[in-house]
Order: sequence, then C-alpha cells, then structure tokens
Amino acid sequence: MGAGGSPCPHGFLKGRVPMWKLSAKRDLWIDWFLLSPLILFYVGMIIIPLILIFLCSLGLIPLTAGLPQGFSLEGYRRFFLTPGSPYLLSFGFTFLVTLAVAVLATLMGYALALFLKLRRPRWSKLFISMARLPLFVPYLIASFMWWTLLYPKGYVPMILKSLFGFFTPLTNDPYGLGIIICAIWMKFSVAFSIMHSQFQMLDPDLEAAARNLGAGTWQVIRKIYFPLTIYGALSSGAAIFLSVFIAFSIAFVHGASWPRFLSMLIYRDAVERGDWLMGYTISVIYVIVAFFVSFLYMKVLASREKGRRR
Amino acid sequence: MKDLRKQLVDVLVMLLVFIYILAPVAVIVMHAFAEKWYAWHWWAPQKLGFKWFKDPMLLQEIPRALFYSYTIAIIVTAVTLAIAFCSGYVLGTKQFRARSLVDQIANLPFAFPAIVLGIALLPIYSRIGLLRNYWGVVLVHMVGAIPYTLRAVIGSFRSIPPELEEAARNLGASKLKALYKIYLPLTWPGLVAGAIFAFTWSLNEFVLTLLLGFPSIFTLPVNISQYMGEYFLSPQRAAVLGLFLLVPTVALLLIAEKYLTPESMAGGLG
Repeated sequence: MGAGGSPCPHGFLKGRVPMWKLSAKRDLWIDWFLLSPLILFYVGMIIIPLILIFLCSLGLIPLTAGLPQGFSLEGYRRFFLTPGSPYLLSFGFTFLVTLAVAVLATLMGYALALFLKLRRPRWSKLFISMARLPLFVPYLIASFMWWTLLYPKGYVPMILKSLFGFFTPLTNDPYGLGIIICAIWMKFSVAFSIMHSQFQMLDPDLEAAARNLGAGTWQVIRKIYFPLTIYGALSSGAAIFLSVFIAFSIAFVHGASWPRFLSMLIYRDAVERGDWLMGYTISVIYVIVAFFVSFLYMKVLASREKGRRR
Repeated sequence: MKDLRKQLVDVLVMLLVFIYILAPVAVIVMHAFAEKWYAWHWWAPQKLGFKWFKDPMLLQEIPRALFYSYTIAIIVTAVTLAIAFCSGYVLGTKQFRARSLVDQIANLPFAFPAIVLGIALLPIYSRIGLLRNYWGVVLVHMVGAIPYTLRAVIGSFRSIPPELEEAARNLGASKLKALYKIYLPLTWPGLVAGAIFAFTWSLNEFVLTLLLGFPSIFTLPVNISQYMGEYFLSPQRAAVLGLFLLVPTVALLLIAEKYLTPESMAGGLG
C-alpha cells in the first residue's frame, strides 16, 4: 500500500494523507457496512422490544391496553409482594424443575461418557451416534413423543399399572414430572457429548501413572477424572439449565394447569387473559434470570478454557 | 468368567440406553401407522397401515402447512446466510474494539426466551401491520436462526489463514472481491452447516409462529399443536404430522453434525 503519501483528492484534508491510512479507514467502513445488517436487525428485533417491555412493565409506555398510565411498580409489587404470590410460586417451580433436569441430565450424560471411557465397549461408535440422536429431535416433537408414552393410556402408566397395580399421572402433573422426564431425554445428550469430548482429551499418561502407583478405578475417577472434567460438567449443566429454563414447547405439552412453568404463565397472562402488565413484568424478570445464568455459563466456559490452556 | 460378566454388563447398559432413546421414536411411528389401536389392547396396535396418511382432514391441511413451513424456511435460510456471511467475515477475521460487544449481542437469542420476544413483538407487529403476516413470520424466525448460523460461519472464517486475503489484497483485489473470490469458496462447509441449521430452526419454530402468525400462517409445528389438545386430541394425526417434521430435521442435522459443537446445540430447537 506504499509508505508514500498522496495529496487528498477532495481537498478537505489538509496536508498529505498516506494511502495506507485512507485504505485502512475505508476498510473499517466496509467492515461496519458488512456488520450493519446484523446490528440493525438485532436492534430492531431484540434490543428495541426488550427496552419496550421493560418500559411497559414500569407503565412508562402504554404499548397495549390495560397498562398503568405513568410510572408504576404495580407489576413488580404483584410479583414479589402479593401474599402467597402465585408468580413467585411459579418462578420457584420453574427454577426447581429446571434445576432437577440440569442435575439429572448432566449426571446421566457424565455417567454414560464415563462408562464409555472405562469400558470401551465394542459398539461404542454406534452408541455415541445413538446417544446424540435426541440433540436432533425438535422440542415440540420430542415433547409430543414423550407425551404419547406418559399420558394415562401411554406405555409407561400402563406398564406401571400392570406391574404394581397403581396409576400415577406422569404428565400434566403438578410436580412437573412430565417436564423433567421429557427434558432429561432431550438434554442428557448435550452433557454426554461435552463430557465424551472432555474424556477423550484427557492425557492417558495420568491414568497410567496413577495405576502404576496402585490406584484402583474409583480412585482414578475421584482423583483424576473428576477434577479434570468438573468444568465440563458445570458448563454442560449451565447450558442445559438455560435451554430448559427458557423453553416453551415442553411446558406447553407437559405442563399442568397449576403450577405453571414461567413461559406458560406469561402466555396465559398476556395472551389468554390480556393482563399485559403481568406478562411484561414476568418477562423482564425471566430475561434477567436467563441472562444471569448465561453470564455464569460464559464464566464457567472461560474457566474451562483457562484450565485447558494450563 | 469375569470377562463374560463384564461383557454382559456392557451389553445390558447399551441395550437399556438404546431402548431409552428409541422408545419415544418408536411410539410416535406406531401411532402414525396404527389403523386400529383399541384401549384394551394397549401394548400394540391391532392393525397397521396408511389410514392416517390418507385422512381427509390431514390431506386438506398438510399441503398448506408444508407450503408455509418450507417456503418460510427457504427464505429464512437465504436471508440468514447473507447476513451471517457478511458479519461472520468481520467477526471471524478482524480484531476491533467493539468486536466482543457485537459478538455478545449476536449471542443474545441463546438466552432470550422465545415467549418474551413473542409478546414484546405482538403489539409492535400489530401497529406496523406485520401481525399474521407472512413476512412478519419470516423476520421473527430469523431471530433464532441467525446466532446458530453465525456460529457455524464464524468458525469457518477463523479456519482460513489470513495470509490468503493479504496476498489477494496485495495483488490489487478489493475487500469485497477478496470476500467473494477467496472466502466464499473456502467457507462453504460452514455455510452449508449454517444453512441447514437455519432451515431446520425455521422449520421447527413453534411459539413465535403461534403468537405472531396463527391462524393466518399455519406451519407444521402449529398444526401439530392443534391435535395435541389445543383444539382436540388426536395423537395419530399429530404423529403423522410429526413424522413430516422429524424425518427431514434429523436427516439434515445428521449431515451438519460434524460442523456443529455440542454447546451450539444446547439451545435446542425450541
């Protein structure tokens, strides 16, 4: 691009401006031009709606009917301070169900990856492909598939009834069993895939050295595998938590009429009841928690990267 | 003897996992092909066949749902790819101050509940005439499709040595020409993976279409939901529609699998 300069062709820049400087500036403009569709799209479709729902939850913009005229914390008061708040109950229910899914799916994925690492069975390739299958099944279809298994005339309740003579509702139940069972199936593959790649990356010399020093399988797991894979397990747990926490389809199919999953509560309040204030308020709280979890997830990922580099 | 016992345990564990994974898929297939399945004979259908594939109600609805689902998915894929290619080039090859911020904004939809986006856009769409509108649904499908496609495309750009672009620029190529002549041919695996992800995302998008498009825009997932208790309960019809969605999705994502990381799939297709 030459070290020499050239006079500015338009004359609005005083003196001589090096060509490479002009070119770098133009390149920068082209970069921003290439980024602009993405930025404009996200501003229009995410950032502005996000700001609007926040302002609506405070009554600052009357975007829909039924919102307070002027600043008000009524929605937040109803969410947090109503005696026996149904919203807090719903939030707690969503949080606990999601936590149960994240813990159980991560444990299951971890156990299967560990099984493959320790036993190296003959059909492990087929096993890996099969264990990844749920990753490819859409939420709504997976929810429906599990619903056909769990609804009162489905296989699982009928088998339970035949074997033990009792019937227990396993879907659309107040404990969220249907959501938990279905979400574990959908999400253990995430944990399995992450943990499997973690175990593949472990240095085999570490295990060999421990074995030479007389360590048994449990000691190898506790002292070598577990400390080296803990960040992988945490990151998969956080990823699972986040994706289930914000999910709609699973709760739509398996949720009970009460307590409701948070996404279904927003749907009911805003769309079915027309209570937009509560719809927007719950949305703001929902987004804040989801962003906080994703922040933690990024932190865990960063720690994992740091540990890997070490 | 000990080896045999170990092998037996291995086979048993694998068998259990296979049953656990395949049982729900098998049940939906059975529902789709069950011509007669009475409650007292709950363990298996009495007669298998294609009765539900010829159901008049479905025959009327499937072409419409397929038309909306596939045309929207194709448009979403094309526009998403164009946006992801342009921004993927900058985010994947350039270092600048605001890169991390733009990168984080691009990841926003991963942590953004679709229902929140839906109710936020509902009044806005209503005011600007995009509610129950074909193009409104296309736009909102892109929100979820872009981050996945962008991840795949950025990965592809990062794998290309920057010296190639520098050489082309030194030989007089403009930036856009380098993008077209150097990067486009070399990033195609990422673009294919990204396209598949955008397509399957759009094909399976449910809640936003339900909120912003239904009843004018009637895609396959919305159609399925109508048979799962929203209007009335018909597991057989829902299963038939489910197969129309499940088979292409699994096939396409299996093709794209080698380009995708488990983390990028953790968001799922909800």
